[in-house]
Amino acid sequence: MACETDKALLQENIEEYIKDDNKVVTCKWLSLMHSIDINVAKRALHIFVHHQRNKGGNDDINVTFFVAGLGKSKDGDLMHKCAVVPETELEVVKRSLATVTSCHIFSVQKAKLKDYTPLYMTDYEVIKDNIDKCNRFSSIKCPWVSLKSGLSASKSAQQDVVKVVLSENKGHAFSNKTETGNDSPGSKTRALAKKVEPKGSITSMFASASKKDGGGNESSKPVQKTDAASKIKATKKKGGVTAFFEKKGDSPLKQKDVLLGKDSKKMDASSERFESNVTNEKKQDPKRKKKQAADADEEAPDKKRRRRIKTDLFDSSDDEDVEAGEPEEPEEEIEEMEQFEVLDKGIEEEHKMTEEEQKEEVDDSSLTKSAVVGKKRKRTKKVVSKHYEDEEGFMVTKKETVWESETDEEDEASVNKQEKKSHQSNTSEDMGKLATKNTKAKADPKGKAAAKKNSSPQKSKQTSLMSFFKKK
Amino acid sequence: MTEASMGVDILSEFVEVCIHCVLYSRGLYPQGVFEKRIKYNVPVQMCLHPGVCAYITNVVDSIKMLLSEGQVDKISVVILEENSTTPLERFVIELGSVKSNWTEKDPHLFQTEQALRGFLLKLSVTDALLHPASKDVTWTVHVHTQDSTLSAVDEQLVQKDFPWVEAEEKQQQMKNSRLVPIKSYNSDWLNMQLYAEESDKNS
Amino acid sequence: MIYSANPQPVNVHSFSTEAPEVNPDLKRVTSTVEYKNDRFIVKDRSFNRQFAHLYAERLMTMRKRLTAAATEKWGNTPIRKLHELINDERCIVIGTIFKHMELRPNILKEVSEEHNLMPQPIRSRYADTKDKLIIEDELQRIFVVGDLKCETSVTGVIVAVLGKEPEDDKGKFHVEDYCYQQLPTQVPRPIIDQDKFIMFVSGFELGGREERPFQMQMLADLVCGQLGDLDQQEATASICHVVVAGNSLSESTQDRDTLTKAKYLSKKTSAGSVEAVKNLDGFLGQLVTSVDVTILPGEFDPTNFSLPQQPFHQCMLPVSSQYNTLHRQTNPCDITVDGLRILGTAGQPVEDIYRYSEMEDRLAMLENTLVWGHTAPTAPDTLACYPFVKEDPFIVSNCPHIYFAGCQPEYKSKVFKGASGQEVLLLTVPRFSQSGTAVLVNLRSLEAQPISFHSHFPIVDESVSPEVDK
Repeated sequence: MACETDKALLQENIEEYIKDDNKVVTCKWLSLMHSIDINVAKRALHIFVHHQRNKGGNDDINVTFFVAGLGKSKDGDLMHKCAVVPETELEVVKRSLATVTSCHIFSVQKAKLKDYTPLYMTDYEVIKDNIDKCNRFSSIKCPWVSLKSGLSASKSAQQDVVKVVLSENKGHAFSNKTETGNDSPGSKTRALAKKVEPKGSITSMFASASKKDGGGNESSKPVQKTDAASKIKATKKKGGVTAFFEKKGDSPLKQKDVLLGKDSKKMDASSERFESNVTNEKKQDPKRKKKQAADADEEAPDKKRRRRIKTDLFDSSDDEDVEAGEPEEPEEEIEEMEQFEVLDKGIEEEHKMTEEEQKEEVDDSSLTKSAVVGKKRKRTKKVVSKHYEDEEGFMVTKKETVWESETDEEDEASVNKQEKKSHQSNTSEDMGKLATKNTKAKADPKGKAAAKKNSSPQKSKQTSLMSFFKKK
Repeated sequence: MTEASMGVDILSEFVEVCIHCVLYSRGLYPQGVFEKRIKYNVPVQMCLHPGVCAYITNVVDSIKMLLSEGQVDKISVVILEENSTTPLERFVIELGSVKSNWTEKDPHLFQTEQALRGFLLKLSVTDALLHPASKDVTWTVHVHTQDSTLSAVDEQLVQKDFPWVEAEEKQQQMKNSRLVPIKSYNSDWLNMQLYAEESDKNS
Repeated sequence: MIYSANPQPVNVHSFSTEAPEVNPDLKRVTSTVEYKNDRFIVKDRSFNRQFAHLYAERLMTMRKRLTAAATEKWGNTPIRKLHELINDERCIVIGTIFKHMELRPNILKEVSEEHNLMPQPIRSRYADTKDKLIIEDELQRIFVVGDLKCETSVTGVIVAVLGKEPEDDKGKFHVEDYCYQQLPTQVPRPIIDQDKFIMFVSGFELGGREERPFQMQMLADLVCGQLGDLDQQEATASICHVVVAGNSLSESTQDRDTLTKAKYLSKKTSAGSVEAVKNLDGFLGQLVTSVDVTILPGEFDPTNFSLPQQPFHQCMLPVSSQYNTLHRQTNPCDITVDGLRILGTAGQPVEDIYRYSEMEDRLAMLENTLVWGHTAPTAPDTLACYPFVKEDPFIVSNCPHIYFAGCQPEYKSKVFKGASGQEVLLLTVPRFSQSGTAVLVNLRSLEAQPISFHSHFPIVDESVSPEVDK
């Protein structure tokens, strides 16, 4: 696996974390921070403790262990027990077990722990930052895990995903800021840099860092950061926009690719997720017109870097340059505005996409026709929700309210998409069901038109929607 | 609910959590009187003794008033030797200016919450950096503020039957104290620093 | 195997020795999962119907099965409807049990309370020695006396009773013997040649006082292969599925106060349901990157209250819902894993039977529901339930291999053997918040084993307790 110098550096880093930074180092934290296999992390912690103990003298580190084995419950029944215990309790717990199946270091820290709270907090923070890949370095691989892809899935989850991304990347942006304190950020970056060096990839890091407007420059001051971030945002927007325009042409095809990818090869989960996020963002801010070249520039290095999981510096920087722009405030208002303008655009876009799909999905032609015909009609929520009820949790209702005061092609388009999805993902669904749905969809417009006349809840809904956007 | 008062709420709440955390980690009360509560999405320890709780609540309430009325520079939890009331350790929260435009920067308080979590994590492992906790100690809370600020809330405090007095000189002075930085946080709306001081005598 | 009564680990301490680094690339064991929950999906939400249809439907469906059982047991004894009863004739009656209970909460009594009549004591159980059993069919009802035990019977069970209505004691049916339905046949248990586990866990109760975040994290870490020595990891890789059987959120998250109060103001209160759901999402988000997870809602989870509870909405779990490995299902839930049928609930039916009977053993109640052929007999009487018209989805029409109830006070399991060779593993899944315990079931052998998670930090002994500074 890792070469000797790497190991030595890792040991140095661990020492630094524990002795200088007074950090709690759990095996999971170490594995995620250094992007190393969890078992390598466990071993590294063991070696560290071993060396520290061998040095003799002032032994100022405390160790907690993970112990598992067969024990007895209170009633005397056999049960498998797993426990995290401090070193002082280790023997007691081990003796209480009939067979010990596991025993390894869980964490090392300077403080004598009174309870699990610091351990939990340490892991909580690192998991939160790496929620999409928290098991990438675990020993068990689950090859079939993938993100649900497909147009309707990503579309329906759009609002949510964006929100989540926002919160996550806020975490990121923030972590840079806090590190400026006496939390010795410099040492950390140094440590990381040191770690990277022997692999000869440091140059590439700098290259990418400079390309990314200092995205990799972790210890930069907050002021600079805002600056950099907004620049990054601009680049990102560029990418998003061009991608959007490109998408106009061949998006259905692209989407197909993703679907195929899901089945055929084991795709990196996070990169796929990332892709879906990008797709969302593309839809979010397709307003600014920029050159296509920027897009290629943006996406290619991203993917490359995804593969290189050895250095967490890259990971963090790349999360950053994808999303770091968002929490910055000055841009936000513009974005809000945009989102509304986007609605019109989006509809046009959807319309085009519908036509694309029409070509592809011959058996749905009747439905798409109805979509094209059904223009300039408003619809009520009621009809829609009834339609979706038997499907599994689509968020379409929410989304549709967005388009409410517009033409309802979007609606039909999304219906169409939904059909598509059910074709692809839910093979067990029989054609009979689909057929009834088609007729339903055809029948809908009339009902909707009627509904529109005698009710106007849309107005009030609309305002609440605005506030929804503003909240972000 | 204005931004400013929300900021004050957040800060005073954090001060409360910090006090409990210090009491727990320095072993001022037996572990049995503490209970785990969830704060900032992570478990924290909270003292259940009604007397202690009431005291802390009063302290925090008055800190809240002080914060909303004016400038508070430092809030420190001072651990004193029981008989001589000489300070042994103190945990100091140093506050920079609290700006009011924070809702725009961090509307869902994600950053703030994460920062406060960071403080608590650091605080809970600070034990290792200090001398072993000594027995027979007591504690108190000092707030460093200005006369004008105090006088502004003095009346209210007296009404609440929880007046603050000027700290004794000897409670404030620490001989050969050693400073142990814990964590600092700088953001657009909040600058905060947490450190511990301990006197040499404690060894 | 590590997860058995006789584990034989070899590589313990493998990370504490200078042994050569072996990092086996462990693969999660594969399994095929099917869900047969269509019957539990409520399609048209119309609540202006009476519940009579449900009882009628239940009686209709079950009558066939009971007739078969009764004929087999008592031969050619005539089967009568209640209006056809002839005095002193020995006959079989098939009907629904109704338990007349004095203590059963009653809105009329509550109203009378307001008119300062006797107040009813608040109690958690409503069974009483004065309770009487009544049998109903489509038209009539009759009191039953005799062999049918009141303590172990609950309203809604379909039963066949053998006996007579004596001339000198009219209006009462004297029961000699009784029987329940015949358990439906079971598809033969597929032969699984390797150890393969399903983990059942319930009652995380996030957002409550009892929540155990660290233990949950340990569970996630163990299942995902972050914890344990090599052998343990290898064994863990054969956990093919995790079933989260209800009450992932605590009862206290249903507190309406937290909705109206802003987060930063809810001083000293536990986090509301928003935080709890977010935490649940985070937890599931870790699990689903490594293993298939089925989550069914429980009594306190944010979905509809009445059975069948509909799946969690994906918007509530934005992170974990993105993965193909998260399966949000109904409660009750009918899963088929590698050909093994698993049926179970988040425990409300058992809890309700506990309230309205004098049985103590949860596992026995669970067993009874299987014997009765109905997952939730007390619905819709005392257990909230959707007013079905055309069918009663809670009837056990296929005998499962594993039958579980979540959110129970303690872990228990046993193998139930049916009359025609059915073998069902009955399982009460304990509340994680109470016990820190999950259950592993080996699909190969249908053996169950609890697995518990602890952290064990000694309390520092304080000989002198300092005085309160006041």
